[in-house]
Amino acid sequence: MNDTLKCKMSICTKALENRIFGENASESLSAIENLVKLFDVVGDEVSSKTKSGPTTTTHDEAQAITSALSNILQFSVSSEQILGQKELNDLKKYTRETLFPRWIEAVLKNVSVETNNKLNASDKHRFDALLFSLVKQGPSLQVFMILNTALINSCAGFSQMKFISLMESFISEKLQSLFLKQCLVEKNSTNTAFDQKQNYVEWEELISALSSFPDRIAGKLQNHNSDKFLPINYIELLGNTIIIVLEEVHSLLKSDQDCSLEFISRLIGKLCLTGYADILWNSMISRLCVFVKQNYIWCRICERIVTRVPDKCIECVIVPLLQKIPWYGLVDKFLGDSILTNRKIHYLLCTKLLFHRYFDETQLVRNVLGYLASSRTRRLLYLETMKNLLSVWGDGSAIKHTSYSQHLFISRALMICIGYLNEKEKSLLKEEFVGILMPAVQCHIGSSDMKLRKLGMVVAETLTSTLDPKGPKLHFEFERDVEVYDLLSYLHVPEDTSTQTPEAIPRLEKKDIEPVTCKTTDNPTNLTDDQNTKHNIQTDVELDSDDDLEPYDMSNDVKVTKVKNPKYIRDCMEGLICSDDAERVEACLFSAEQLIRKSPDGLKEIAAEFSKILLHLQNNFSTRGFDAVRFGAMVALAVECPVEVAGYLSSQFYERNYNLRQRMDILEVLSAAAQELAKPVDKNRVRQHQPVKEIKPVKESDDWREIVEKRIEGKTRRFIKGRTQPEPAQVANRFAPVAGHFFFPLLNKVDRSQPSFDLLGKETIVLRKLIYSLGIILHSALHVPLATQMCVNLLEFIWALRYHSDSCIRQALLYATSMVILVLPPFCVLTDLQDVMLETKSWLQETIDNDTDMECKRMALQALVLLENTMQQGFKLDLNDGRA
Amino acid sequence: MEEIIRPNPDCKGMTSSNSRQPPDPLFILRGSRSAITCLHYQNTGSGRLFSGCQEGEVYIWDLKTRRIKEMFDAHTKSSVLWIKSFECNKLITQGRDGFIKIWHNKNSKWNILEMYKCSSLVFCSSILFAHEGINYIAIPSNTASKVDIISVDSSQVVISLQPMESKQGMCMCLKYAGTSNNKQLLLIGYESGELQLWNIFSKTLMDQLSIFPESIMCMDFSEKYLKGMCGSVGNKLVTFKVADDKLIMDKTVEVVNEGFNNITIRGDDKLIVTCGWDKSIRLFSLKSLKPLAVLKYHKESVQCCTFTSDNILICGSKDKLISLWEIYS
Repeated sequence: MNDTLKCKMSICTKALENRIFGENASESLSAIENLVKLFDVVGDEVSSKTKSGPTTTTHDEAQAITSALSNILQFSVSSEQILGQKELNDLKKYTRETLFPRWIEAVLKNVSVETNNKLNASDKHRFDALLFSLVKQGPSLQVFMILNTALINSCAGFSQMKFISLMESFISEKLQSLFLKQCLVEKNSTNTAFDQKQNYVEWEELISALSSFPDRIAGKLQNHNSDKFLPINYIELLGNTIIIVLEEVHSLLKSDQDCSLEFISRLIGKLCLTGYADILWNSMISRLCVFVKQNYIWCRICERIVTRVPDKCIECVIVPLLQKIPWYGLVDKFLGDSILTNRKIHYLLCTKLLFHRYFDETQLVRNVLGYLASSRTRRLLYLETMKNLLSVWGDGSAIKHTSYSQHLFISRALMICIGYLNEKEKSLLKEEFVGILMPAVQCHIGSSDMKLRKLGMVVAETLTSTLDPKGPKLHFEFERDVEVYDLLSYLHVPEDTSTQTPEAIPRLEKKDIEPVTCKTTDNPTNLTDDQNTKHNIQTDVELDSDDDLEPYDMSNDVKVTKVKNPKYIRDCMEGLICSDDAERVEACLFSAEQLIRKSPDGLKEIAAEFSKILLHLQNNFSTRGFDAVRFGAMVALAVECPVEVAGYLSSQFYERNYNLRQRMDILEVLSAAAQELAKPVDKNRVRQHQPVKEIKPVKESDDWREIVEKRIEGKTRRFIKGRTQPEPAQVANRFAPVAGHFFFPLLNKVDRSQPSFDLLGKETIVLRKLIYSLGIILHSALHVPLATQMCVNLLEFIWALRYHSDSCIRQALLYATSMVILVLPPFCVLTDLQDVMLETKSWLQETIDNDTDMECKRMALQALVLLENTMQQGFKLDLNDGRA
Repeated sequence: MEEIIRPNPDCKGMTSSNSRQPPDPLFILRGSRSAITCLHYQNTGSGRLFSGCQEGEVYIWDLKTRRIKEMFDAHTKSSVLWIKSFECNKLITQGRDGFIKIWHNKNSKWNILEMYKCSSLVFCSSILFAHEGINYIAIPSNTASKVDIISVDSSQVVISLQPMESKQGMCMCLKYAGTSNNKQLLLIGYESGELQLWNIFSKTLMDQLSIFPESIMCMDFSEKYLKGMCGSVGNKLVTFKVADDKLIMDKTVEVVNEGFNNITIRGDDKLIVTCGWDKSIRLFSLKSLKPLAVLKYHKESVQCCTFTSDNILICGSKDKLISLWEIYS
C-alpha cells in the first residue's frame, strides 16, 4: 500500500519537475501547493478535513498532474485508517528527505522574470508564499545546501534577489533548528559505523558551506551584498544561534537526554580556522562566562566545545578565547584539566604561546599562567613553566637574539608567575631560582640597551625580595617610571570583577539580533559632549585672556655677577684654567662662545689649546647648563678654526686617560661642527629682512603721462615676470676644504686596540657613537669631491662590523649605510662601487629577512629603498648619457 | 599645593622673537645729593613728588617742569624711611634717627607740628590709615616686634600690637589690609620671615604664616583681590591670599637675581612692580603673575618706587637718580 503511494508521489513529482510553469502556470502552482499541503497532511499526521479540491483544469498535462494529486489526496484522506503508525512515519521520512528537496529544487529552477510575468497578481503572491513555506518546512540541511548552491550559481537579476531574501529568512529563522538537529542523539538508535561516517561527510559539507558562505556571497554579490551576510553580522548570528542551541542542549541534558556537541565544536573550530574567531568569541564569551558560573553542566558543555575541536583548529580556537576571557579563574571552566591529557594543548600553553609567540596585550598570558597556577593538578606544570621562563629570560644569547617586545613579554610572564608563588614553594625553590637569576642579572646589566637593563633590575629586585623577604636584597637605582609600575602591576593576582548575573544579560531571541549596517552613524551624544568640552575650553581661554598685558622682551634679564665678563679670549682662557672663583669661571664659560664667534685675530694659534681646556673642564661648581654651554663653546671653536680643532680633537679621541664622557663629547662636537660648517650661511645677509613696501593710497593723478602709462600697462600682456626675490647669494661651502680633517683621523685607528680603550671590544657605546658621528660627518660632506673616497672607507669599515652581535651597533651601521647611499653620487653606484653596492644590497636584504631586532629591520628596509632609488637614478643618468 | 613659576631656561630663544624691547626711561630726575630712599607722589594740581634721601633731606619735585621745587633737611644725616602727605599742606616723615615728624607748610616754610619717638634701629616704614574719620599711624616701636598705633589727632599711642612670644625679630614691613567684617586688618612682616595678620582694634592675632626662611624685606597688598606679594633676600617672590581671616600661601615666582627692596602694586590692581638689588625693576601681572618686563637703567640697587595718578612709574635708586617710566600706562 505504502509503496504504491510512494511510487505515485514520485511520479507526480517527476511530472511536476518536467512540466511546472509551462503554459499554464496557475495550474502548476496549485498542484505544488497541494503537494505541500499533502506533505502537511502526511507529515503532521493530522487528517485534514477541509481539503480544497483541485481546481478545474483546461490543460491536459496539468489535468493529469492534478488528477494524480487528487488521487493521492483522496487516498491520503482515506489512508489514515489504513496506514499504521510506523508506515506513516516511514512515509513522512521519505517525503521529507527525498521528495521535498526535489520539489524545492524544481521550484527554485523556475524562479525567473519570465515565470513571474506569466503569473497574475494574486498568483504572484501565492508563489511567494509557496517559496517561503517550502523553505520553512523543508529539511533544513538540504534546504540550506540547495539554497546555497542556487545562490552561488545565480546570476544578477530577479532570481538572485529572490534567493537572497529566501536565504536571509532562512539564516535568521531556521539555523537554530538546523544546529539543534545535529546535536540530538536518537534514542536506541542503531547507528552503524557507516551511518556515522555518512553523518560526518554531511557535516563536513554543511560546515564548510556555512563557514565559507560570507566570503563566497561577498564575492558573488560584490557591492550589492546584504547587510545580514557581512561577516560581522553573519558570524555574530551564528554565535548567538550557537548560544541558543547550547541553552537548549543544557536543558535537554538536565532532563537526562543525551546530546552530542560534536557538530557545534567542529563548527566553532572551522569558523575560527577561517579567521572569524574574534567575532565569534566576542558574540559568545560574555554569556558563556556567566553561564559557566551557574552549574557544572555548563562547564562540561563549554569544555566539550572548546577542547574537542579538531586538532588542526585548536590553536585558532584557544588563542582568541584566552585573549577574551576576562578573568583567569574562568579558564579552568573552558579548558578543564585537558592540558594534562591533550599533548597539543599542553604544548600550546606551556611552550608555544609563552616562548615562540608574543603579544602586546597581556590578558592572554595572565590567563595562561593563572590557569596553570590555580589548580593543584597543574601546579607542577606551573613551576616547570616558571623555571623555563626564568632560564629563557636570563639566557644571554636569547637576550641578544630576541626583540625587546618579546623579552618584555617574557618579563611580564615572569612577574605574573612570581605573583602566584606560595611560601612553601618559595623556600623550596629559592636556591635554584637565585642560581639562575644571578648570571641572568649580569646579562641584563651588561646590555647596551637602557630599557633592557631596567627590565633586568626590576625583575631581579622583585624576585629576590619575593623569594626571601628577610634575606639580603638586590637593590638597584633606577627611575621608577610608568614602565616600571606597569611591570610591577603584574605581581598582583587579579580578582574576579564581573558581577553579571544570568538575569542581567538579555536573553537571546530570534528577533533581537539587529544587523550592523555598513554605514557608520554619528553618535549624537558624543557630538554634544564634544561641543560641551569645546565650550568649556573657550570659556577657560576667555578667563585667561582677561590678562591683557603683553610682556616685553625679557632677554635683558640676566644674572648679575660681581665679576666682569672677560673681553679678550686669552682672559677667558686664563679664567677657565686657574681660577677657584666660581663666579669668574662661570662668567668666562658663559662668554666663551660669544668671544669665539667674534673670531678675533690670533684665535687660530690658541684654538687647539682652548679646546684642550674646554675638553678637560669639569663642572666643579654645579653650574646650571654647564654641559650645553661648554658644548656650544667647543662647537664654536671647531667651526671657527676647523683644521686645528678637528685635528686636535680627533687625535685625542684615541689617546689614553680620557673618560667615556670626554670621548663622546669629542664625537658630538665634531659632528655638530661639521653640520654647522656645511650649512650655507651668508654672514652679510643673516639679519637682512625684506623691506616692507609702503602702501600708498590710490589717487587719481592728473598727469597725462601717468594716465597714458597706466593704459598701456593695462593692455600689455606679460608672459613671465622676473624673480620677485633676489637670487640667494652663492656662498662657498665652508666644510668642503676641511672635510677630510674631520673624517679620516677618526676612522684611522679604529682597529688599534689599547689596553685602556678597546673600541671593538667592550666600548660598544663609544663605537656606536663613533659610527653615528661618521655618518653625520659624511652627510655634511654632501657634494664635496672627497665624499666618494670617504664613502669607500666607511663602507669598508661597515663591512667589517656588519655582523656585530650588539643590535645597537648594527643599527648605527645601517644608519651610516643610509648616509653613504645618500651621499654617494648616483653614477658611482653603478660604476666604481658597483661590486660593493651589490654586496651591501644583499646584506641589507639579509638583514630585513633574518635580523632579530625590529629597528634593524626597519632601518635596513629604509636603506634598501634609498639604495634602489639611487640605482634607478644612476640608470637614468646612464641612459641619458647613452642618448647624448 | 604650592606652585612655583620658574624662569624658562629656553626663554631666550623664545622671547627674542618678541621684538618688543622694554622702553627707556621717560625722564631722569637728577639733583638729589645722596641715595634715594623713599618716594611719595602727591596728587594735587600739577603733581608733586617727594623724595627722601640717605642724608636726611626731603626734596619736592615739580613733575611738570621736572625740577626741584623745594628742599629741606628733615632728619639730619639719617636716611628718610617714609614720606606721606595728608590733609592739606601736611606731611609725615620717618627717619632712621628714631623720629616721626609731622610737618606743616606755612608761608612756603615747613614747620614741625608734632614729633613721635619710634625705633631708630628698624628699616620698617610706617603707615598712615584712617578709621572712622580719624587718622592713625602704625609705627614700629622701640621694642622689637611691637607695633604701636598712634592717633594723629590725640597724639597718643592708642594700641600696641605685640605677638606673645618674641621670636619674630624686628618688624620689617607694615601694610594696612583694609576692612573686612568690621575688622581693620594689619599685615606685619617680620625679620624671621613670618607674616602676621592682626585685627587692629581688637588687638588680636588672626593668623600667621611663615613665608621665607630669611626676613621679609618688602610687601604689598591689593585690597581688591585680597592678594599680596612678599619679597626677601632670595630670588623668590611669594604671593599670599587673605580669605576668612586666614593667610593662605599662593604662588611662588622665581626670578633670575636675588634680593628685593620694594614691592608696589599699582593703584588699578593690575601690575606689581618690584625693585631689586640687581639694579633692575621687574613688572608682573597681578592676576597671573606673568613676568611682563625687566627695566634696566640704574647703576645701583633700586630702593623705592611709586606711581603717579596717570600711571607713570617712578623709581628711586641708590645711584641718586629718580627714573620716570611710561609703561602699561
